[in-house]
Amino acid sequence: MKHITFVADDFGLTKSVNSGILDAYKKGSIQGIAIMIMADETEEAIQMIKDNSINEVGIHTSLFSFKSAERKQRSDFIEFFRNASDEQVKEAVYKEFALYESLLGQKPTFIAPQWNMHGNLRVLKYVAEYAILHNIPVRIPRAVLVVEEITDKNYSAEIYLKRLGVRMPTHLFAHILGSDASEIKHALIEELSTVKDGDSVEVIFHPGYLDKELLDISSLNYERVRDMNILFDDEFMNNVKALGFTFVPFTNL
Amino acid sequence: MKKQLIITGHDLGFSESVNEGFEYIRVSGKKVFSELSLLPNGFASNTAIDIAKSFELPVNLCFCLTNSKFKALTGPSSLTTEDGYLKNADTKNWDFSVIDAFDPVDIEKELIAQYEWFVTNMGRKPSALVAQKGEYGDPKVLEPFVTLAKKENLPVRAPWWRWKTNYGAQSFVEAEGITTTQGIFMGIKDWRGRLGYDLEVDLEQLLHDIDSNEGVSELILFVGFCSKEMFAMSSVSWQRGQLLNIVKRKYHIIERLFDEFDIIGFSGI
Repeated sequence: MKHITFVADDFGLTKSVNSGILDAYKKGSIQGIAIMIMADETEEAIQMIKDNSINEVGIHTSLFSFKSAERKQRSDFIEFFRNASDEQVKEAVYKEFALYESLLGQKPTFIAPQWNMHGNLRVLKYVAEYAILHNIPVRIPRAVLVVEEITDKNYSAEIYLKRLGVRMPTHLFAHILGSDASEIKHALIEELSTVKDGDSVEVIFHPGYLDKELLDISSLNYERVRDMNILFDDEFMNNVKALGFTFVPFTNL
Repeated sequence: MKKQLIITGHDLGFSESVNEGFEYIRVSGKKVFSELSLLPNGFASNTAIDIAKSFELPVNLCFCLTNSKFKALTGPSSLTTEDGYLKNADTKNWDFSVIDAFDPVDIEKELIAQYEWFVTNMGRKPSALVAQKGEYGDPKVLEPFVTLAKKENLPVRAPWWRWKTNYGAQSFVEAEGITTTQGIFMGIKDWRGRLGYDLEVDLEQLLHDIDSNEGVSELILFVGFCSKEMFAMSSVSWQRGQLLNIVKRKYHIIERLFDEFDIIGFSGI
């Protein structure tokens, strides 16, 4: 048996992203939604979660406010992790988890940090601590803070989590950039074909509609509509199932 | 001497999302298009008129005879279903067999109606005649199309078929003495047979191919935002947004086109 979960990142970023993610979720193409708890449209996102009784809601941690007027760049995080004390890192991590809990009234069902920033061992330590304490699965850590695509492995961070017994899927796939949906679908099927029985997979998507607000605030914009195309492609979804995968929530991986 | 190239913004009037994309480019002040292509019977054709006029660019008439989302301006006929929606030419399979049942008289009436819509609303003639799916690559449509072009002394886009050379139609147009382009390039790749170019990935190939083509070429660009409604309407959705992102963040790609070629409108042929 092979379990797979499709996760939508960036819930709360903009109204057009919220709307796209919700539609993909309602279609059944998304099994987990990762919410940004300090973004411009977090409040709307939380209301959508409540109105639609969505249970599988992970946290897309950003440590600091991700509102467009206050947002930090990747380089700011690299600087922070280099210079901050352990206490400061711990405080930022736990403050965000606490905010999630107070706004949603539950613990996150999975942890999927923005830019995979838990690939940095300083922040990973506290993410792991929280995950173990509450038995929450975590996205495989990579190195997106310093490289554009998510494919580059991050051995030290992965093995750190494995040794602690933190629950993670076996594989992580994502194709974030690029306009070629057909190529991405083909590539994903090829990648999924290599997954062995008993393994589990997380695939990251960024669904959303495109409006002026999104175009202006995010360099990842039209690609979100591309992901809508992929997620609404019944043939693609059936091809995934034909490889022997069962779609499950992240929690069940 | 540089090759001449027309850069056309396609589908103006298709929907509000598309119109907003055009408006975004206009407000940016950046040079992107040398022609705009206006649909007479799109979802948002009427609101597109002011946008078209504000651009201060030549605007051509984009006939639409085979898009089932749109209605014929002449009402129910052999071109339409009972409720007046145009019968669909299927670009998924490139099946244009719906044209088999078109009555030539109805084709001519619809072309004239769409032409008159343009002139009435824009207050001037179009700069050229083109078609949304290249329907005049079919001789049944080509004949009345050419008749209109000759009568109004207007240039036309090369009558290609499935975005490829259509010798019979091309030679007919040229023999009729109508000014026309000789090459057509689509600035969109992941769509129906992958016959186009991704501006970000295939730019060098595109520049090479345009330069290698005889005569005047036209590059057709798709632009637009994508609302939930737009996503449901068209198989070209995120691709339109890619151009907006290029204009906003990677404008050097467009600048290359303007640097490499003599950018003209149809009147410059």
